[in-house]
Amino acid sequence: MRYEFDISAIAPRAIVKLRGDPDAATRCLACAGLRAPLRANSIASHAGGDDVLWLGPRRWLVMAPNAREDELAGKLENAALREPMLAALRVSDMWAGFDLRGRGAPDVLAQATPLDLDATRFAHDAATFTDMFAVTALLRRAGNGFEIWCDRSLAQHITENLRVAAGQPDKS
Amino acid sequence: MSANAYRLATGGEIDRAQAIAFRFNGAEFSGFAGDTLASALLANGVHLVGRSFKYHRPRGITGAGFEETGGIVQLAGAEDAPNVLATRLALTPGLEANSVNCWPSPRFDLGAAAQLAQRLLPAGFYYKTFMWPGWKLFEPSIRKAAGLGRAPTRAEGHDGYETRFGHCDVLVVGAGPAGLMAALAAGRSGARVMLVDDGLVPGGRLCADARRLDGKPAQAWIDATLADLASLANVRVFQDASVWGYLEHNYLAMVERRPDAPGLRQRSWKLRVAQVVTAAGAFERPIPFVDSDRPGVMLASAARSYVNRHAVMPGRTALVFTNNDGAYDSAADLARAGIGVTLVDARRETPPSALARIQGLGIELITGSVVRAALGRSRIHGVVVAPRDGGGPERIVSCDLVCTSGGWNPAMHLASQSRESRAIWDTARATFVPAPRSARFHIAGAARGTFDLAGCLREGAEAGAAAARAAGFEAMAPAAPTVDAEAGAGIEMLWFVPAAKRGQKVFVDLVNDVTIDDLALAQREGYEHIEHVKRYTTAGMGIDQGKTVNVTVIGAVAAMRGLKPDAVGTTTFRQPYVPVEFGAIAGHRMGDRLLPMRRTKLTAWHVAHGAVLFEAGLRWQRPGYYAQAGEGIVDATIREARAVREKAGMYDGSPLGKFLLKGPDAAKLLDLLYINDWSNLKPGRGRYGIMLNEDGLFLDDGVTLRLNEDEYLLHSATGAADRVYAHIEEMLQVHCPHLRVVVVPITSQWANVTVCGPLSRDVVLKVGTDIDVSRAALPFMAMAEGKIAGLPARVMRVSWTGEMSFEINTPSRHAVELWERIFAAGREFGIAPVGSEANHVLRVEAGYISSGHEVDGPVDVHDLGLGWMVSKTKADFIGKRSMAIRRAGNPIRRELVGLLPEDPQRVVPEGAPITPGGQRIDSEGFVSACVRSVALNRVIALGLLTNGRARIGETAYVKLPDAVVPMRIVAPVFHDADRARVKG
Repeated sequence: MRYEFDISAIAPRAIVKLRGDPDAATRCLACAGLRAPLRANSIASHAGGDDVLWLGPRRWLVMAPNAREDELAGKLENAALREPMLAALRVSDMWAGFDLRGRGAPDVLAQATPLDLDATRFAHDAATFTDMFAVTALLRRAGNGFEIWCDRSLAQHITENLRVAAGQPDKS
Repeated sequence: MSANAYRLATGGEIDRAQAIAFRFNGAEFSGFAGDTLASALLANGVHLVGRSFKYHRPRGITGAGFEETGGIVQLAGAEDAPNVLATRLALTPGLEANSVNCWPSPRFDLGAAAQLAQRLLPAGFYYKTFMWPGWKLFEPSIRKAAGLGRAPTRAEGHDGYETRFGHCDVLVVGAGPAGLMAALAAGRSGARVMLVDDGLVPGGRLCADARRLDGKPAQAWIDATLADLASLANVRVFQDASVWGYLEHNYLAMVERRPDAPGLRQRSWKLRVAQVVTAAGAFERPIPFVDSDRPGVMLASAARSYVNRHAVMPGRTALVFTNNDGAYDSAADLARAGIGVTLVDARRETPPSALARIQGLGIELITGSVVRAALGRSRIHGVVVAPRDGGGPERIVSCDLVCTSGGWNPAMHLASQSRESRAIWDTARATFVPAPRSARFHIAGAARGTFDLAGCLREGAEAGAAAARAAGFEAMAPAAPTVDAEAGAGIEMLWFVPAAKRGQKVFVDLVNDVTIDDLALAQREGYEHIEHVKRYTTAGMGIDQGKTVNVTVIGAVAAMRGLKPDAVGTTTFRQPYVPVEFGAIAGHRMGDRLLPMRRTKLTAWHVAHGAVLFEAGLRWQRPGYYAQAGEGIVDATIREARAVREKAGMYDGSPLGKFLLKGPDAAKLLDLLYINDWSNLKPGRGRYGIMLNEDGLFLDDGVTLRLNEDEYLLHSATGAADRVYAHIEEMLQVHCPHLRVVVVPITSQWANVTVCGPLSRDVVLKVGTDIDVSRAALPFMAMAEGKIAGLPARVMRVSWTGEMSFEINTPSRHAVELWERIFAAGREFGIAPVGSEANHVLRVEAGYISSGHEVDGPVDVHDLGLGWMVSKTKADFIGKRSMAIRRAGNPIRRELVGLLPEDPQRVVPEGAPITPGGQRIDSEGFVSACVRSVALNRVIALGLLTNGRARIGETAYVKLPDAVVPMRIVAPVFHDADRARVKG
């Protein structure tokens, strides 16, 4: 291995997508005891492991422990019923997540994404969609490492490329 | 010849304790650590390195860095690579290199016969010669004769390359005096700095010119400055790395050679930087004269490098030919190394400051004269010197080395590519210099036309500080060291020495074998603009990329046309400015990982059960067919299609595009998007719709379901999902922001297992469900939610096979379980997994249209026989007006028809043209699909044919390269025309 780097699949998480009016999203999140981040492309973390990611002017993801999927999604979906311009959908099955660790993780990621991952530019609570090996993926910091979330149909494409980027033999 | 016969006993930046053996053209040589291949060859007295690109003339080493035009070699063995500059190749143990463009050897090259045919090969010869009987007859042998190296065959593959992104506040290009000062100034400010230098060692010309700073050898200052930089955590230094392209918005391309990472050969960087300081130095330009391309002729600065840096004498008796003061320092360094030197200055007067530089060194000075011609073939042994004005006698001067110095060209490639600087002519310096006009692009030192060392140091410091400040940091220019004396910058324009006799060759571009005669020919033939000259003659192209050639060509053209060089103008320096290996650009994104292929949750199951995967649009991989023992694609397809027609089949429909539309205006949006009506669709029901683009052409089709009062589930074709999503968002964000609708793509959230065939309901009942799937409760185009096989499911009665179908959607986590449960339950009904090939057969039989087949660019819904779907009540929908205008303009259209070949087993290729009578004339249509029908037990086809519907019953003729296939024109539905089976 060229870089000190480890990648592992993240166990399924409860993920709910909110799309629509920002005020409606704030109200909806409040119904579930959550608050929206104040800065774009950042994460508001809550006790119990619930995170709200603000990923676009009208786009949020709520990520929570898998065991809470029904409870959390139920609250958000119910709240969204009262909001004509807000959709709240459980999309846990759409995503595949990977945990990236090791001192070489930034060097491996630099082969994947055009983002500037310097801590002054991509802060501890940062989260954003980015180009990654020609597809879109969600990148966020997680402790000393990173998490990548992508459409599950593209998981193999991204992980294989990351593996080879880290210096493992190319099997193709 | 004894080893290293031309090596000086002392001096240089080589380690005489570390001898290194290497092979060149099969012969064994030795050099020292610190040598380049070029310096080691010269130390061994090897000047003839290869042959030229076009005429196969003998060529030797002409430079000491990237300006090299003759020392181009092919690496052999594990390092196999073409177009490697011997001057840029560090000598390493076991290195093996060979000459290019010659066989069997550079000394005796059969290809040199090309020189006999020179008159047939002038500039642009391929536009006007070798035309009869046809260029293609000659092209293979001409192409074979041309070129420099061959593509490597090493098995290393692409593991040795990496591409990555990089970011910094200040990028400094060049670690010469200006670049080092710039990096120091910017680095001390705290800015993130990258210092990139393409030399094998840092310092630029400081050591090559044996300069002294603060009273000490330059190396001491270089070492101290690098130590300073190394102490700054915010500064990264890249040695032996080239910034080779400058693109928009401070996006630059860099290649890092021999990076400090195991197994890595080269690393390619895509840099996004806030500020750029280019301190890339300058290239000395030669003064072309007759046969100045012979081995033994090199740049004066190169000879000086070899003496000072590598302790090598490039010759024992040198003649330095110049038009400027700077060459006097080169001549002096050669003389100090023990080389006998004659200095020929084209100028009549030499400034006293320059004269002082050679005083007492025994150098003979000839002023007001030029070198008219070189003597010798594979190595020069003398030159003809004559008065510049032509008067007076010629004189032959014996020498084994000619050093030319025609002035300096700032390395302007980054300035030129940036579009943030323009080139202006500077008569005093006899060259073009860059004039930056951007706050984020700075130029310092020789790259700016400042050729004195003190000026370079000062400018570098100022540029580095300015760049850091512009990037938002507080910065001050550090104090520059004091420097020793140097010759002045006096120069008198001299672009080339014309040939005295017809037939003599004055080469201006050694890489491409372009002569002064070629430039004159281009002028005579009307290619006067400098961009035309470049393209017609190829001067400045290829490896050189204008480093030594461009300004000389511009000057020569200016002289021919009686203009000043600035009236001729400059060309743009292309990328890559230095040779870059394709592998470095490609990186590791190759093979199976090149394209982002998409997999469903069921892909592994499919593969494990014999599926051959095909791409099904947007890189989705779907089973094309499931091969059973002994089956090929045809047999498997027929078996699977027959299972659906007669019993039951199942397929993975997961890739189908899915979008949730929510909002009080969702129905209005659908009415706008589709040609048909949506407002009257009831919850729990679906409808097939066709979407046009603004040109009135087919964009997509699919079934949309109404989930409840203001929520719809829109399905797009697999391959159309992205464009449909973009289309909807454009409508909502740009054209109709008043519509209160939210759209959410959810394709991968759901897996889709579709069960189809006359026994499909039995299969669903067998697997178990709490949904009433009877025809009455769940009719065609209805949906219901509940459980199937105990798993959450949304079932839709939609069909694309011409048979009763149940599209069962479940959250993807349940995909494999649902699939396996249905597969097991369906066994007793003869269920078969079905691939896209069988689906294709089934949909052609049913007469269903498909994107990429019947639906291509110019087709509208009327052409497809679906005009009945167009709403009669809606005021408007996207594409309505365009479609009407087009049809009003030309009512004669290609229309969808069915086709039956007269020979019922004759398959024709999809896409085959239909022509009137099968003649070789313009087509009147094409075959859009052709399959072996299991329902009709014969070959059937669909096609688009001019006025097709009116011609049903007639015969159309498919024109193949080797046959004409008559086909009867029929209605485009072959199976279940009343859709009774679909609705079953």
